[in-house]
Amino acid sequence: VKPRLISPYTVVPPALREAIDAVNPVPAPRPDEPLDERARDDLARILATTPVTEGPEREVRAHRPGRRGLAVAMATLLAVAVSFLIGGHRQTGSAYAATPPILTYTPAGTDAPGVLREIAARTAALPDTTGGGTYAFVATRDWDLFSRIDNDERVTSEVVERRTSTWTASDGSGRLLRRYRVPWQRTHVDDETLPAGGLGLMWPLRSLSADDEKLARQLGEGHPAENGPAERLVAVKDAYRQMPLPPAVRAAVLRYLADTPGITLAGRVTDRAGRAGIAVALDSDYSGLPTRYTLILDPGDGRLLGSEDMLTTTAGKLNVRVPCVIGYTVYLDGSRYTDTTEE
Amino acid sequence: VDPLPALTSDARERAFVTLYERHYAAVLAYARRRAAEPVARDVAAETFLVAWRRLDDALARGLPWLYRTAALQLRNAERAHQRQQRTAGRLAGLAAGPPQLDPAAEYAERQSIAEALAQLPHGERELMRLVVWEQLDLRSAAAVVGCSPGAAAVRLHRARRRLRPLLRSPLPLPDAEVTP
Repeated sequence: VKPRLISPYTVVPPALREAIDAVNPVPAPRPDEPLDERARDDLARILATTPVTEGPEREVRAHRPGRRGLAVAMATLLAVAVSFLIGGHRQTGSAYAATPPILTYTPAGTDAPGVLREIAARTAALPDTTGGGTYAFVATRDWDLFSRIDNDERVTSEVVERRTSTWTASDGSGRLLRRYRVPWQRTHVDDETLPAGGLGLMWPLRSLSADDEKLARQLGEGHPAENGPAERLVAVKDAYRQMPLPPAVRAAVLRYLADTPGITLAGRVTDRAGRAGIAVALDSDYSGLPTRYTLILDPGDGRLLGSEDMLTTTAGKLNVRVPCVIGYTVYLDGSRYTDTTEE
Repeated sequence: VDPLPALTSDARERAFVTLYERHYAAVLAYARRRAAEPVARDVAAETFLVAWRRLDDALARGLPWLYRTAALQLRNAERAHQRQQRTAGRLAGLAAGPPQLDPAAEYAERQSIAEALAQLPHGERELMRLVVWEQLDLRSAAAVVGCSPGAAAVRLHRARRRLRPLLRSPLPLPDAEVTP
């Protein structure tokens, strides 16, 4: 299998990808392609102009408060330095990109479906505290090994961490606040107010069912079974990323996970926000590389606390050592329906 | 108090040149997939001119940011082209023809997958191209078109549904026709 994209969000299946790739009118450039004369001329012309450090944002809808005088900081070093620093391993001089530490999982048995159903039963009895406002508020912290693999051998890996908060109304309008955490640079803030449809709901707010069969149909709609069982974990992550789920739905989601072929119990774990959780996992190579998808759940109230994607046996052409975490999401506390678009 | 040291103009220039050398070919390929050659070259130059002026953004966000900027430049080029066509049309007493900016449109006449791709709504088509042609992951592609990853996933799922019937039947893609 030729690795192409390692995103867990690979949503274009290989057959379609190949068909569309076949009508690409311009093949990917060679990695070592030198600048031609026109490119060198343009470069000289650009360098001859006086750079302006701050200007009005060119994006149409973006509204950016608090971006006074962003210093032009340590720029070339950035991509490299970020990848060396964020994960906490210092690997100066290494050709490998740093990745976050792998969480420690303590064995907690082998019966994943049984444990999931037990938590589901407990969760179903809880009162609904998701609130009754207009906007679905969800906050996450995530990290991704950004990768782009060219047709030839060049691989570029950069590390980006961000915190995202969304307030989504039923028509898909709302606010999207993204903060990119970059060491020794001020946090980049993207704060956008989006019109109807801008936040693209996969399911209408409050529409996910507590009925097992109906929920499976709803989750399967945008996450087809032909992509393999790991797609079910992606569906669960997407649901939690979009809206707060009341206890009855959370219980149904846990039963949906329990029905996932091949799901295993990874064990007890302390998540990246310091919360105690229980983790289930599934191995899949649908993305092109053998990947373990892990979900961390709160054993007390059945919430999804986090997800981890880990390469297990090979990194293909990516410059990371295996096993390693290639992406995680922390679902922060406080997911609820609210009437304001303020935190 | 600003704790961050500003780059010296030397370091700034080196950073920009590195960015330029690293990504020029990719940005030019992006523009060529969506516009004819002279326009594509201008779009690449304009994109990096913006990057030079907004170097902090360009360096922090990398290639997806450059693609997004190139998309805006392409839109400007297309509008300018349409204005020229209208003017030329009035001068000649003729209605303006459709702009011939998109090389993918030529393929569309010959190949059903390309045709189907060309008929997708703009947002879906662009996301599909970014994911396959530019090989971006979903989040980066979403950043280029300026929507959330959730919205991008929804659009791609819709596009998949529209394109799926074409894949059920054997692909109408003889190699001889596919290779430019």
